[in-house]
Amino acid sequence: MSAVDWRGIRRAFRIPLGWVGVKADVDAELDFHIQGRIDELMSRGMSREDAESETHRLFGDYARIESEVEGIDRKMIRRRSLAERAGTLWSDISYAARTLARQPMFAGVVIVTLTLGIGATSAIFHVVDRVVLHPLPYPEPERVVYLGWSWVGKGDYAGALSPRKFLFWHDQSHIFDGLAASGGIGGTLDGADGATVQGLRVTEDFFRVVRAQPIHGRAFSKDEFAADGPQVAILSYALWTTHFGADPRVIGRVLRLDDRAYTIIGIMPASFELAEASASPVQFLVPLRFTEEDLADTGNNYSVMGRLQPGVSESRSTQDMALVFARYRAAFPNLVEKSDVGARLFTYQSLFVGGDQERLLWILLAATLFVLLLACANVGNLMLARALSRQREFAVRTALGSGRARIVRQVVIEALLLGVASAAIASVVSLGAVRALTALAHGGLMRSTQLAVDQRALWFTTVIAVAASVGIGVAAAVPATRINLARSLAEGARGGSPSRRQRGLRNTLITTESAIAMVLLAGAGLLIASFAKLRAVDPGFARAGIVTASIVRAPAGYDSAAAVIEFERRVLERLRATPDIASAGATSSLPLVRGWNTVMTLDGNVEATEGGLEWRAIDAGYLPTFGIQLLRGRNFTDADTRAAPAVVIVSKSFADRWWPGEDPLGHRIRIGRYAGKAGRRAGPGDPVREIVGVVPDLKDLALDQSRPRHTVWVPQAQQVPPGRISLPAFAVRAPEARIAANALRSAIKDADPRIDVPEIATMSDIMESSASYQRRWFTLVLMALFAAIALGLTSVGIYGVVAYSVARRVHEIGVRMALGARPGNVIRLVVLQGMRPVVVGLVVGLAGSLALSRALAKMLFGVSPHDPRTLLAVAAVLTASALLASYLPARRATRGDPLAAPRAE
Amino acid sequence: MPAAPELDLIRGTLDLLLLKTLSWGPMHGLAALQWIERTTNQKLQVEEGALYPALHRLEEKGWLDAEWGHTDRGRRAKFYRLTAAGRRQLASELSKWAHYTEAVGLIIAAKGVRS
Repeated sequence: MSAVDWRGIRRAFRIPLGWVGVKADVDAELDFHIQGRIDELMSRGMSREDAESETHRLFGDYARIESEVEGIDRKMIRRRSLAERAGTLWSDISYAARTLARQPMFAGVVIVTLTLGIGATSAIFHVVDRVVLHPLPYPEPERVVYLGWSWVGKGDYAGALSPRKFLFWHDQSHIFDGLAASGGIGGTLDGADGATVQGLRVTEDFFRVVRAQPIHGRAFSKDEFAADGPQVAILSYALWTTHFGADPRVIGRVLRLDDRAYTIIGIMPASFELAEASASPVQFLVPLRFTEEDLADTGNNYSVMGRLQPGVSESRSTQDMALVFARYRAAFPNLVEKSDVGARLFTYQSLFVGGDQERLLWILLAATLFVLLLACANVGNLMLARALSRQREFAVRTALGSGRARIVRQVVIEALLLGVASAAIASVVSLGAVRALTALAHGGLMRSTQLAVDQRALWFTTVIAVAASVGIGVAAAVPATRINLARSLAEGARGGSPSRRQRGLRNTLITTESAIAMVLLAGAGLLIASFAKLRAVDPGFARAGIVTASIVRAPAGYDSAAAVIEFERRVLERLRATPDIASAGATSSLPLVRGWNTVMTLDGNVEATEGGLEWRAIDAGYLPTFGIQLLRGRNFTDADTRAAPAVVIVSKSFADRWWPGEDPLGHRIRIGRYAGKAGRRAGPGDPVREIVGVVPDLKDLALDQSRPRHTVWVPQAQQVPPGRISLPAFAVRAPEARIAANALRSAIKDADPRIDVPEIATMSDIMESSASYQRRWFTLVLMALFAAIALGLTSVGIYGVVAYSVARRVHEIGVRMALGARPGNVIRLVVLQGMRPVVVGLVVGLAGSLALSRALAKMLFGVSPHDPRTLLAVAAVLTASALLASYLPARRATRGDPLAAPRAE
Repeated sequence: MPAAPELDLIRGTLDLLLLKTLSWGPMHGLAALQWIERTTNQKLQVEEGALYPALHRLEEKGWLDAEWGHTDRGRRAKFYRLTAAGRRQLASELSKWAHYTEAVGLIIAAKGVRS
């Protein structure tokens, strides 16, 4: 290094010593030492040569010492510069905190605004994450798949398999590391006040698929799956703790469910749970064994879940499915329908979440991001105004040598402090919001165990908070620090009038906010319009005044049609004897609750078959109770008994399909779950039925059902149900719901005292809890909420900008008024200037919502995504609130002494 | 640097010697070395290879401050100055050293083993 005293200069200006400097520095120091030694030795009379060699001998290994000293210096520099940086950062942070603490109003408004945006976004992200991104509670969830059965043409599938199919795929498919079927089982726990518990029957691979093992005891052994194997059960952790006091000695004891007894052999860990949100928590597991009767049933009623072997590609699994289906077709030709496509793999999302719900969640997330953007825009505007009012402070700091970057950093740190505070509050608030969301979705959205704060959600919150804060800070600081030093100092504390560039920035802000608010309002408006349309749908059956009762669990003894019909007769008899009950009926499935599927063949034409038919068994009172008018023919009567000729009522679209332009009455069909070519019919068949009546098409599966479903109605007394026989649901019409409910309860209790509490619901309840209604209601509430927040934020934003510009123009306004301008003129001037960017934003937002509302199309009902009435109404709402937001500050500017401001100069 | 026990002792002692030497005033490395040699009448030969690592280590610990300056003869040299922390360190090392020599002295002066 040269003789210039760099080190001193660096020190004076606190410049850290660079890497290159270190070596030169050390060399200079060591050289000085060596030269000094040589001089010393020579002064004692040594020759230069001797002195040099003696010095080097004394000194030792120069290179080693040099590198050691250099290493020490580097370490020192690194540590000191880090400490220095941490020190300035800390002083910046404490300075920012002190500045903000002096303006609690500002800090409060910013934190509330940001918390709204961050909280909403975090809450929806939490749901998206748990429902769409990471729904499965099992290890290596990406390998877990579900197996279902699909048919050609209709794009239709069942998310389950029949026992025969399951066993076949289990044995023949080679892509799984475990394939398990499961079915529900319920019962009343003996000795526990008759608590109803839910269990799951599972096949052997179940534990391999979910990758869970009992914490006490053991899993099921192979012989426990044999038809005559011992009755054993594994308890859930929750059931174990609530009903067995978490006593490990419970293993070996007996679990009594209704009239069955199981030996308890294991306890599942607390962390074990099933993914399906709709399933009530599983409290015990028992082996699933298939009987001969089960194997004959082609109904796809068992949920099948598999764990793919590692590295199985999609094409390989598709191939495997096709191959196994070909073998299945060869092995059981008479169990395969022409339309069968075979088994298909599903992800959890595609089977249980569904494309619509998934799309809906993404739309909501997008909506919250818009809200967040608005919050950021408002906060950014506030920060900008504040930064501009501090231009004098900045100018002074710049004059004192603070770089622009340092000042920008200061503002960004302030924004970050506010952002982090908001994120902390938002994490807590959003958890409450998620709880509210799940309640709003009636538990159909997420399992309750998914509500806890988790790492991914926290990360998301942190990332958006930091990104938002940095964005806000930079956006506010950069224009504010574009300082003309001399001007800022000269203008003094008043601050300059906003420059043209700053005004442009503000107008852009308002334009953006209005556009975003317009998009969100349009979305909410369209959903509200759809909802009104949905409520107004005429489903073809009456809803008013109808109360229903469903029996959740049938006691033992109802396994024959005769027993069920006898029970039904007794209940209806009592109901009809009750005064005030105008009408009573019974059905296999209540409208909007569920349906049964079946197939049929025209009598005398084995080629004329139709699948996917809706099947309902009803009594003579059903159609009158629901006010369904017959288009042709007659209703069922009490004379349509099992002994009487078999009859059927069909829906209009079904009749039109097979007998267009003809009278369908008198034609005969054959209904049955084992339909197909006549020779292949197996199991108990349905009798040949004569069509005796035609009813209109109903929307009894979903209110927004787009096309009519062909439906056949059979008399309860003559039913051969497609599934297991079950107790009917009852419906009565009465002037008052309470009377109806009481009548239903007592009639059912009288008919069979073992049935304790049936589920009572009015038809309005049923409609409101139906999927089509619920999903829309959920979306509507959230979109309306976000749109309202957006409208509020935008109005506050407009108010803020207009108020700011008015405050800066107080002088000008004062002069105008002193010269005779009337308040009205001034107000009009201010409002018009404030509205200009709003109108631009409206137009942009309108274009945006025309483009974006197509994403909503699936959620809409009876309303076009471009519905002009809705869009106009929304634009009017936005314009009105923008007018109000700019009128208020304008009016305030015209109040008071017009000359006060000019005089103050 | 390998941590042989006697080397450790020497290094620790060297630190003490340097701190003590610099307590008389700022000095460059060579001057400190020469001062030690002179004061001990050349009896204590400080290994020169250990001198600079020791000085820099003491600086890194914050006990010394280094600054470039000029010698009496106008040559540029790096001067080391004891900092306040260095002064405190010196005091504690001195008292440790006193205890140490006292204990060693007692053993050396002991006359036989009494049981």
